[in-house]
Amino acid sequence: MPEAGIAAIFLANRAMVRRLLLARGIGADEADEVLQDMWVRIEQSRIGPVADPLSYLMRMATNLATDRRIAGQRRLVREDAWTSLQPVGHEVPDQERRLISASELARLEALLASMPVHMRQALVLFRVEGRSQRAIADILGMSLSGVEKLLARAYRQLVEFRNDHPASLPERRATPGDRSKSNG
Amino acid sequence: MAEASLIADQAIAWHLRLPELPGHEWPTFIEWLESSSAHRDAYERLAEADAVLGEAAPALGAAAGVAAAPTRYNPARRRWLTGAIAASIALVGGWTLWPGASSLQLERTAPGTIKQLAFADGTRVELNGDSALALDQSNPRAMKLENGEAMFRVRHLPQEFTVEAGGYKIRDLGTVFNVQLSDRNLRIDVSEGSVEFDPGGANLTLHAGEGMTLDRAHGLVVKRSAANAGGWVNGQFAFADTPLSDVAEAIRRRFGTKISLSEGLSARPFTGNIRLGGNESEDVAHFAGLIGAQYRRDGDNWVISEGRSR
Repeated sequence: MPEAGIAAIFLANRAMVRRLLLARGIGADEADEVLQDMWVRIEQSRIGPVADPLSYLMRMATNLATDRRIAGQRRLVREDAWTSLQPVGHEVPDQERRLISASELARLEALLASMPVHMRQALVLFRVEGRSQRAIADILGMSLSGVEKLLARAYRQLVEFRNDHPASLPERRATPGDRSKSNG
Repeated sequence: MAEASLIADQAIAWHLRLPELPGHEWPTFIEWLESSSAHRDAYERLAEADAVLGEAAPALGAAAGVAAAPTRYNPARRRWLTGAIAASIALVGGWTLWPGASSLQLERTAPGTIKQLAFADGTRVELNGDSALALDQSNPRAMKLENGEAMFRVRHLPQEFTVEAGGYKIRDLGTVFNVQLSDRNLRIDVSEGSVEFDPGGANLTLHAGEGMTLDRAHGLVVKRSAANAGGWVNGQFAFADTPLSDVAEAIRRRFGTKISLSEGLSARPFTGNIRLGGNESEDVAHFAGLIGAQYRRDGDNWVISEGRSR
C-alpha cells in the first residue's frame, strides 16, 4: 500500500519534519499541531503514490509552515496585539484581513507588468502554474540556468516590492524570539 | 548591506530549488535556516512575498474591476486572471509557443455556453462555459484543457487518449471522466472505466466512482470518491465541502450568472446538491435560499450576503 509507505516515511522522519517547522519559526506547540495535521492528512486522505515521499512530506510541511505563519500574523492583527507594538496597527480594521488588498493587487499587477516579458512568463509558470524549471526552459526556449537567473531576479523584485509595501501585514515584526515562542 | 543581499539571494536560490529538492537534501536547507536568524528572516520575507503572489493569482480576476489594471481580454470571456498575469499566461500557454502551431486549434466557450464536440473516432467532449480546449489536428487523441471544465466520453482504442491539464497528463483507459481546472485546483472525476493521472509521475489510477483533487500551489493530491461528474451538463451540481466561491464559479461557468459573494460567505464550505434551470433570478433565489443568505441584483451582477432575504 502506498499510503502505508508514506505513513512509515513520515513516522521515520517526524523529527526532521519538526526541525524544519521550528527552523521556519513555528513555535513548539504549533509545530506539534502541524505534525498532527499532517498525520491526519496522510491517514485519511489517501495521498496517492509519489515519486519521492520524503521530499513530498517536507514540501507539505514547509507549505503548512507558511500558511501558519501568515495565519498567525493575521491573528496578531485581529487581536490588536500589534497595536501595542506599532501605532500603525490603529489603521488595521478588526475583521480578518486578506493577505492582499485591492490597491496592493493593483501595485502587484503593475510590478508584473513592468517586468520583462520572459521574466513575467517564467514567474507565472513557476508560481502560478507550478511548472518545473526544466519545463519552463523548454516552453521559453531558454537554458535551465537562464531560467534560474530570471526567476531569481523576479523574486528579488518581488521581495523588494514587499519591503517597500509592507501593506496589510505587520511586516516589521516583533523579535524573532517572540515568534518562535509565541502561542500558549 | 552587501551581506544582506547575499543572504537574500541565498534564500531565493533555496526557494527555487525546494519544489524539486530531493528528500535527502532537506537537512541542508534546514541547517541553512538554523545557522543564522538573518537566514531565517530573509527566507520568511521571501516566503511571505511568494504567498502574496500565490494569493493574488486567483484574486486578480475578482478584484480586476477595483484594481483598474489593463485587461487585454474580451470581457465576454472573463477569466480568473486578468491584466498582466493573464496576458503572460496567454502568451505562455497559448498556441504561439507550441511547435507546429498550424495544426492546433482552440475551442473556446463564453460563460453560460456549452459546446459539444464529436470526433471521428467516436469520442465526444462536452465543454463547459468559460472553458478552452486545445485540439491537435495531427493527433486527435491528445487534447489539452487550457482552463475550465470538460466531460470526456472516450472511445477506447489501442491508441492512447490523453488530456493535459495544468501541466499534468491524464491517460484514459476507456472512460467517461470529467476534468476541471481552476487556478487553485485540478479536479478529476471518473464515472466509467478508469484513467491514469500523471503517468510516469504520481501515476495514480482512478477507477469509476473515484476522483481526485490536486492543490496546484502545494502539489498535494487527495484521492476521494467521485463527485457527480458531468452533472453540470444538465444543471445538476453536487458539492462536498466546497468553498461557496467555487460553487458560484461553477454556476457562472455553466450559466453565465455573475454572483459576488460577501467576504464572509466566499470561504464558507458547502456540501449538497443544487439543481438549476438557467433562469437567472430563480437560480440565484434558489442558491441563496439553500445557503440561508440574502441576495440583490446590482446591474448584471448578483450580490449574495449573510442574512435572510424576505
